[in-house]
Amino acid sequence: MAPRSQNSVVEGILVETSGIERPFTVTKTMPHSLIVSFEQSKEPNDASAFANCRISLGDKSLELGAGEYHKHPALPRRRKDDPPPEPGHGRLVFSENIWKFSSLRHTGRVTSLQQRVQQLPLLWKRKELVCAPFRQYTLELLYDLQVYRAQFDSVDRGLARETEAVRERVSQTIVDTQYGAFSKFLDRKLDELALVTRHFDRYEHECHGFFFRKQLWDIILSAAFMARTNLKPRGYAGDSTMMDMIYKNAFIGSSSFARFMHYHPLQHPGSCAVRNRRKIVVERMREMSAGRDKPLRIISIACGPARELLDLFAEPEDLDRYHLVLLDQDPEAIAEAKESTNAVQEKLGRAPTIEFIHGSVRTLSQALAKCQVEKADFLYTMGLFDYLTPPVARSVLGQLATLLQPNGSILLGNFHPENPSRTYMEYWLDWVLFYRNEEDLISLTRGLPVRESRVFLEPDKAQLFMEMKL
Amino acid sequence: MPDDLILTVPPIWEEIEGVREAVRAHLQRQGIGDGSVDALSMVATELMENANKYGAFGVGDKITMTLEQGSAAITVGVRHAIGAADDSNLVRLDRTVQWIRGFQDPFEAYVARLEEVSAQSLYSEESGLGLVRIAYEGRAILDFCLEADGTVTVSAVYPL
Repeated sequence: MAPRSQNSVVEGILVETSGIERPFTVTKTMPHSLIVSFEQSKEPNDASAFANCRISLGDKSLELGAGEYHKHPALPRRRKDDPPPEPGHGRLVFSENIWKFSSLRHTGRVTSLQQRVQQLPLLWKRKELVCAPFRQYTLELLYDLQVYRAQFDSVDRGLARETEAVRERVSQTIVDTQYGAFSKFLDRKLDELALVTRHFDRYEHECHGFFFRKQLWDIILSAAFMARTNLKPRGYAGDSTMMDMIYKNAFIGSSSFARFMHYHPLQHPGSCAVRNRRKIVVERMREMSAGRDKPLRIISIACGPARELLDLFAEPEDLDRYHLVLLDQDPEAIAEAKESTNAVQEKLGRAPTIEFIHGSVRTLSQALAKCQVEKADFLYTMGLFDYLTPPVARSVLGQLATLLQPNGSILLGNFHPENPSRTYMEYWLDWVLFYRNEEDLISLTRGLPVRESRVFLEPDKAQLFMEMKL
Repeated sequence: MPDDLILTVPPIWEEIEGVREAVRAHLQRQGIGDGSVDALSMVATELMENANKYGAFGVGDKITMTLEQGSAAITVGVRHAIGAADDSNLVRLDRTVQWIRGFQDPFEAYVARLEEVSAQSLYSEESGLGLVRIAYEGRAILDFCLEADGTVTVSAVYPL
């Protein structure tokens, strides 16, 4: 495949009904329209129709058909809070097809609603694989949840004309008086889900999970956490925003029902394990730095938002105790980790010594080749190995081992197959992990010069940890 | 391991059929069921095609295909050299692997990819359907890693 830039400029020509051609540049893509710029004096009139539109990149072009041009409204920007002006001159909206431009810049592809409708028979056929008891379970669950939601929604509607203070008070009372019962109700339903799926093989879990999420989709989307784990806006599960939601562990949402649905998975053992591991890793770093006369050199792989830094750097003396290198594949996670660093600086008056590396663990050697990383005393990675298959996990672990000083230690986490949240995560959250038990974790160290190792579970028994000294 | 198969072949398209037949014959000798034999030979074929398309080969360079049989899974791995300027391909492979693995049901990735295949594109590039087929039709868990020696191994774990 030819290398290409995501910033390639897409150009086009608008053909008016009179035959006049107006060249333009695509400035921004919206899901179903294009924001465009015209050369001076070539801009069409507002709300004018065009007979055809052709966009092109190099020698490839696409015909998008007829539509209308809508000029941006001329809004004066008088106050600093006024929205910034849109880029370009206006939007092209199409009348012969519903085009989807979301992936135009990344993949160069434009899909249409017509093409998506053609996939429907394939999607409909999938439900034939779903067994009768599971259909019945899903139907009853959906009914029960909708009935439950209706009760909360009626209170929320009644609050719409109240003052903010009253709304806040009543919302808090709903949490105080109703969440406990709701949580027990949903726990019961999760137990039933585990029961009805207990004999499924992997393929059956996949087919039934797909059916389940299609049925529950609007309920899933109502809860911020569930919506994010399902939609995966950054293209992968377990992004730093999801981690932050788990850390914040709060009732968030636009309705009482949405707040309850958001909060419930955050109380489950899988989420508790994420909060537990933040403490475990900080405790371990504190133990290792005790009595040292020089800073503990630490590397965090797949660091995410690195909120543990806020706990690690508790007092000014800590700034000289720890030097860190943080690596993540996601630039947004790196930006959030930098925010954590800034928060430490604000609290302690001086910045901690932290180096950031943007790179994927699957291409670790490439990421490290671009910078000089000093060997570390301690390396930790908490939410990475759950996504690596054995051959990749072994290769990555071998490469991580080379980043350690003699006597250095690695602490890595991996969710256990008996994770009590497994069914919840797979069916509700569409969040699948590569689970490992004690034996599986130890087998990853085959061929490494391990001097000491220990494997332990965190208090909620969802995630396993292996610490090894090399 | 005695049950493992390692094949080293030149990066020539015509070699792929030979690899597919060798994989099939090896698995049949091991007493693996027909469904699994079909799935794994398809997986090996797709990985070999991928290596031929995206590898960068000097004179004498070869592609190594391994079939490793464990108690819980059979792993197919294809290792090959990549060009020095292959950043964009690796980034795209990384994104695709994580995207496919992001669905509990690979059928969702398959439908989404079919949609893209039928879409109009401004780039003259491959569909990426091969990797999705490994997950959906081949029932295997896809992953890859840039090795310390600069080669890349794309692997697929087929749970037994």
